[in-house]
Amino acid sequence: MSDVPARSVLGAGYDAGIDVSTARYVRISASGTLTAKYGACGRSYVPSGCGASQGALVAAFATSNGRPLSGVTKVGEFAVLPVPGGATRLLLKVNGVTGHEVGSYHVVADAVNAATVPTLGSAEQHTGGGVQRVHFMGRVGGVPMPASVSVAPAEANASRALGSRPIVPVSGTAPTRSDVQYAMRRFGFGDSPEQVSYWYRHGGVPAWITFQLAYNAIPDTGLANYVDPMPVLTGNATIYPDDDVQPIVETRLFQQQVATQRQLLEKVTLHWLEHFAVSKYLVGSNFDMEHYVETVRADALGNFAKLVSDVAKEPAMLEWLDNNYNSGNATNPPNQNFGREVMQLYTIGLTQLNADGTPVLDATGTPVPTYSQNDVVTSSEALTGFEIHGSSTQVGSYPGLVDSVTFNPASHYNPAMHNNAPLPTIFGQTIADSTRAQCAWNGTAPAGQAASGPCVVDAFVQILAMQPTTCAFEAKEMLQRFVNENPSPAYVNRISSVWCSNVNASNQIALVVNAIATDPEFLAGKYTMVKEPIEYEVDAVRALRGAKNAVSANPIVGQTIPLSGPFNDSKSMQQEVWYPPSVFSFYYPGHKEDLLNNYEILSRWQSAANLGADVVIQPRTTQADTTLDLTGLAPAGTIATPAEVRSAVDYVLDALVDGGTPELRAIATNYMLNFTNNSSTTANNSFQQGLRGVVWLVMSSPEDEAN
Amino acid sequence: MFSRRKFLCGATAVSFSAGTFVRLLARAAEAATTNTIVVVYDMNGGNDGFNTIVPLTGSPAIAKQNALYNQLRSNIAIPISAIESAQTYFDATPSAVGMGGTYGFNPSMTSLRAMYAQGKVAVVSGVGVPANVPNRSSHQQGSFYWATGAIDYSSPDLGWAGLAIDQVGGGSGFSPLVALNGGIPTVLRSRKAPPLAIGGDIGSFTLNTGPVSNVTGSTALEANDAYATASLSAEYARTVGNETTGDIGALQAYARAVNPDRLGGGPFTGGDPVTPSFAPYQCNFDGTSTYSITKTKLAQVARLILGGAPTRAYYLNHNPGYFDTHSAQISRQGNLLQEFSESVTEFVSYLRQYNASHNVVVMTVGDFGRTLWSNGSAGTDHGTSTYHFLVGDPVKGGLYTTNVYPDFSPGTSGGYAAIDIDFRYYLSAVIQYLGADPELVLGSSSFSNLTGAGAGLTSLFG
Repeated sequence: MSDVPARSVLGAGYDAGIDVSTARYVRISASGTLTAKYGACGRSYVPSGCGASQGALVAAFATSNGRPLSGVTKVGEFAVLPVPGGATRLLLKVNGVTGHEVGSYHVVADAVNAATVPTLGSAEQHTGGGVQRVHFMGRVGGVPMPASVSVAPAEANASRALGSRPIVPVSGTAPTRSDVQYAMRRFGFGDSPEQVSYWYRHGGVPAWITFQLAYNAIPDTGLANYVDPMPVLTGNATIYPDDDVQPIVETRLFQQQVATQRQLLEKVTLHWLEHFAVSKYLVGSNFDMEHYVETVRADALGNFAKLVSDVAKEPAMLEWLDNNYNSGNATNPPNQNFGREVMQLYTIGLTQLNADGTPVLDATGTPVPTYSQNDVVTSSEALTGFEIHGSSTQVGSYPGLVDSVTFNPASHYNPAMHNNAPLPTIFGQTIADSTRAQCAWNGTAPAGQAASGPCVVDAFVQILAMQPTTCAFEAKEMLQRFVNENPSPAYVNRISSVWCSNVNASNQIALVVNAIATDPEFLAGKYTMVKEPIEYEVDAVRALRGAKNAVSANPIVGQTIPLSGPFNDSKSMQQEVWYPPSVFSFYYPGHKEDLLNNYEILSRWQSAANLGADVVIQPRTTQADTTLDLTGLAPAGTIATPAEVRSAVDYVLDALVDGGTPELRAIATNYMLNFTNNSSTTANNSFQQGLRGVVWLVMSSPEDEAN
Repeated sequence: MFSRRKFLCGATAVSFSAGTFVRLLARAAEAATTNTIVVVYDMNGGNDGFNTIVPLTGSPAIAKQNALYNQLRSNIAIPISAIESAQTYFDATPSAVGMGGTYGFNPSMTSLRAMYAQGKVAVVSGVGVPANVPNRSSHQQGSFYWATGAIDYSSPDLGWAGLAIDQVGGGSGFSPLVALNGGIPTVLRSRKAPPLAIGGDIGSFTLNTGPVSNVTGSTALEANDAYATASLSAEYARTVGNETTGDIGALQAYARAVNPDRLGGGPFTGGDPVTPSFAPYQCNFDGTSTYSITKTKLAQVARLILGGAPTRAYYLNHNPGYFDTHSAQISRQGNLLQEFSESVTEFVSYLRQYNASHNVVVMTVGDFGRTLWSNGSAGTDHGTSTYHFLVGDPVKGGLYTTNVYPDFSPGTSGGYAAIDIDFRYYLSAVIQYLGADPELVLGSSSFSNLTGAGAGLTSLFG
């Protein structure tokens, strides 16, 4: 048996192509280099066989409507391909490489109109479009972060304070505008070029972080105009199936991500929603999901122990991890689903970590587990006692409406549901029986006792949240979410220290976020990760001023849901926040580059087309779920000037990809110039069509995959 | 053995030259006669083996386990009457439905019981990751061990199937490793051959024309269509299309045939928009509109196999984690096992119609087994050993075990089931079936000898 020939994980054998609709022959030459890496090469370890290899442009053929019309021509200096009638595009083929391609490749295609195959080197008649240059659609890989980075001196205004909190000046922050874009994208969902410019001029990264951390001071005016209210259907005898109501409720999160001015809060909320991943597949009610999101958001920048404790009592979590009606008895003990995962996934992790995030190893070099099977039993028993009610508390015909909206953990804690097995010492601490006694009430707290709900749960979660290994586990996961999938141990150590030093602070997570964003290593994370689908969508909508569709006061089933288009695209890319595929959420920490597989990329291109079509440069008169409002870019006269075209393209590039590479800029600009020059439609229509194409091009580029 | 109609099932009005088709046929025949194919069905979440194969009372030894089973699983124990009613009882040696009294398949698994009677189902008992391997009962590590075939934390993120294919190759023209869940699972990760990902929710994925026209003079559909074609058959183009012969049309037809739902109008989109002469059955097994994740994915596998794809290892699962039945297990697991049982037997039967079943094996894997006892939520928690299945015409059917049944005794004191068969013996048997050297994959020669602790597995095939 012979070895398998290397092939591309992305299958990126072809470039997007070149317009040849007016050509009879195309002359092709190519230059540049292409390197390739297989997916795992970006990891902390390097699998054998991971070395860079090279590819080369080898062939081209012409197509129409996706079907080839010509034979495949080998490409070399002055290779000429006859173009059959009806062909519209030239597709380019790149030779086999071992993985996703990185680098640039330039293809120059001359459309020529000679009646016969021209002799090489002889004069041909060029068409008006002339030369088109195409940048090969390579992919951005996961580049390990350097262990140390050099930082530029701080800008003079980097320490200007906004808001009441003093900003600690940190050298190296915000030296460039793209750094501001990077920070606003990582700790938010990006913003329009105008907003980026504002913060660049007004204190840069630290100022924006400080402003965002004090989120209660951000009025968030207008949010109600862009986020659907919860449906109210009381008194309506019609039964609305859950599946019909779900899109309205579910899209609210996406709408909020797009429209809220409290961007940092919303991004950290997403981090926790992915960390404490709950799937509606086992959750009965849309409103339980909504309630869950709101609870997580309320605690997102607060105290971690409180966050875990509140999450543990949420109906959605109780249903998802089977902790509802989970009492157990002498014959059949409590189930261990939540009892196990609250340790492994939510707090202390699977194996013990040093403060710098590296695993604690035993004498044989094996990582040391954080918990034993006995601990799982103890944990499961301690966390019992909940009984949330389903259909019995529904109001009217609306599934689950009031039950969740008025959810009160105390009223859903029943001592008869609590497993009273003795609580042994866990992690060196023991929960006193007196603590358990305080929990022995249901509904109204007895006089003199705090009405804070089931206190064994609080006490137990407190122990988990305070473990030193939790500091490193959570700090590293946050760095992997917000900065780089392979953060340096020193960076982890610094953030872990902040985490551990503030376990009792009510704004513990905010302090950690501030430490991450103002760390000298923060800026080195730029472009080292791949955008998650939800980021790809929300970032683009925000960057192109898409939060413009007003919602209705009382959304009803069947109505067009604002922003449902890009939201559904993120679902097509297999990231629906309400439906994480497993308790591990979407992308296991350190594995986000798995997003660069052929299926995901195909879905992104599809979505790029959809979003491009949402661009308007004139006020829209027809209803659409999404409008990307670029009316400010409309040309002044009946015919766009080249300067107006360049300005519009630059704006889109700035908004979507921090300006992009010179190659991408050249492609987009040339495309738009050709389009507006050649179009026979009215100026505005052709300008709008061209701009839509530019958005599609840019969002299909590797630059827009990088985060 | 191979029908053009079958090959084109779901394709819309695509024509290509007879010569091309003959070559594709030749490729299909070549693949069918020379290469073994493994379909990995991941019971992701960790299937409970003890309610999958139930101990009955046919002998004193099994009756003892049956008594403990009923004692420890009082709220989920499957009564013998249910198994009698479903006629899923059986013995270690395959016999006709209606015979046997030692074990019972879950009553929902009547289809698999029927195939067991044909001698085409191997039931492997007490399989798992050995004791003292850290965190073997966590989803994270349990599934990692199963995917890599290694039992240490420092293993590279490479799968046993991917490494096996690195040794034996997959033929050229198409990825030898294909995942049907839209991502790349660890078990398929390879040093040499990046796997191909086919979207998970293929029932809802259709490629529309896209509203953006005139993007570099073409439609979005065109670009994406080309991209899809490239994704699916870039290598195919390189060899069969041969870069100079202009047969890309055939390759696009190939891409459409194997994955029509991407291109719209395929049978998986719910309707029956294909050319009327194509019976829906050809693409969806039974022609019903019942949406089955497992069937839909296996239908894709069947289509690729019949299309002549040289793929050697496929991966699919139900939705991730669905087998993690901590509560309400009876109905949840019953539904999953029924879907698995019906899908896999239909899959094999379908391939048989085209004489393409002789080299295809479906194997189950999972995170771990589940506790011997049931919990207060009428479910089971993370445990150790479980039952696994090999299904297909190359399989020598029967029950493979070192023990009449995994011993339930430890459960009476909160203990876990012993591992009767190290999971690496099980993997080793399949790696050898693929033609690879298990020592190079599993890092130890001890698992090549299937007559040792993996007693009986030596005859899993043949």
